[in-house]
Amino acid sequence: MRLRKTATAILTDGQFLVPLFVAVAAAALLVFLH
Amino acid sequence: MATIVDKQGKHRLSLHGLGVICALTAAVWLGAAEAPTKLVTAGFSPFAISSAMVCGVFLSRWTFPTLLKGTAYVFADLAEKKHLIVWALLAGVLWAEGNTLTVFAVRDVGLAVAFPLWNANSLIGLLWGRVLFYELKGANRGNIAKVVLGAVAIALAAVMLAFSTVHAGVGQHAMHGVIAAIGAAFCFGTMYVPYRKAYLSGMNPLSFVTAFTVGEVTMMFALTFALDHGMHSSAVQLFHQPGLLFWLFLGGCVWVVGDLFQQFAAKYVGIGRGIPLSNTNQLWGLAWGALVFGELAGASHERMLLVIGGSVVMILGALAISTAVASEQEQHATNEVVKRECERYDLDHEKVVLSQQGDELDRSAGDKRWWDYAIVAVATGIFVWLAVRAVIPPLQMNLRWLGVLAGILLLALAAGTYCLGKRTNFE
Repeated sequence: MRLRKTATAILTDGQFLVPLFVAVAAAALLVFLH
Repeated sequence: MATIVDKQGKHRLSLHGLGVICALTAAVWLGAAEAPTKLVTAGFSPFAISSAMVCGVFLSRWTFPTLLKGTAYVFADLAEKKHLIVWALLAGVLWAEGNTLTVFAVRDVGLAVAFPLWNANSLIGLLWGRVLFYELKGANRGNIAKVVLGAVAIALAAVMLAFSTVHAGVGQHAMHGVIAAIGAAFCFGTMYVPYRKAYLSGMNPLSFVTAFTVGEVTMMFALTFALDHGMHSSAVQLFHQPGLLFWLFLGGCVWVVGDLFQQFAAKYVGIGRGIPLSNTNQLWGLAWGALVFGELAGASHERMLLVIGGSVVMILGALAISTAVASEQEQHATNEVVKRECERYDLDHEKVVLSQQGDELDRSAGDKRWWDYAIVAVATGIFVWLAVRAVIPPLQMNLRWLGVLAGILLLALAAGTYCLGKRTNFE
């Protein structure tokens, strides 16, 4: 229950989306450049 | 209710002063981290060099927090703010991706073009600091000008220093290289978002890096395996050469010391001020290259002018940021962000505010257990085992300057450690 609450708090945190988006975009860029 | 500004008057050294000292100490150590890697001249891929360095980083990242606070403290801190483990892993992934993108950038456009591009990370950090954490909100015009112009000056100075030392041609895939460098800037600039998030939530930087390094080493090995010929990567051969491995582990260890101070700087002055200040590491990198390895021997007047001009501009930029002390209104804005974190993640506000000031309710939590000494002994043993097998390649070095710069390193470490220990007990 506590774990689910923490996961929800992270995933609904707008600030989390910034590094997550950059990390996914960087991974896609690495695949493209490779 | 306690606020961040409440207790500052009771201490001699302000938190701003402490943050600036940490950032400048970080710069000295981060600038020196590349020096040992110059001794590895054999033709290994950048992935192999990075992977070996990251292993040294991993060992050191577990050693220093264990030595200073003990694993019981670190794990209790992580368990109390579990959500930050995810953030720390993500930050480690961003570092590994950014580092690999710099490899692509240097390959395609050369260091002179790529370095200034990814050095824009300080400006990206400044942007995230303002947008996500309200840094500089409520600051007077003078402070805003000092921080913004100081960051721009340091980035510009980095361009000048990069052009003074490197004369690489532009490769065939110039556009790919430029995109990779911009990608690296975003990774390195955004990597500080989790840092700041953690410290606004009251996490100790020593706990954060312990989780960060797991993301870092895992992603680095995954990238090496995926992009550097899998099991045929030269990283595999490198790990069979302890004579060379020591220098890369040493470089990783030096980098960790610098990064730890950088983390404390992000905690005490924020990322808008902390990143540009620690980016002055290029000045120290240049000092090692020029004075110890003679990289500027026979340099033209134009190159020397770039070196002197770049150094002066960088020092002025650092001075501007160092003197931009956050006003009460700015600290009030930070308090609002802290409250938001406490509400969202169910944290004890009073405890978090105390941690912001470098104080904690339970300082006895740093007691060491027998396995802490075992971790430090094993890590030290690996370094000693590699050191006795280290091979010094026939490379011209100025030993007098080596001694001077090593002395400055130790002096900076002593000053930084003394201030952090006395003011915050490494919290």
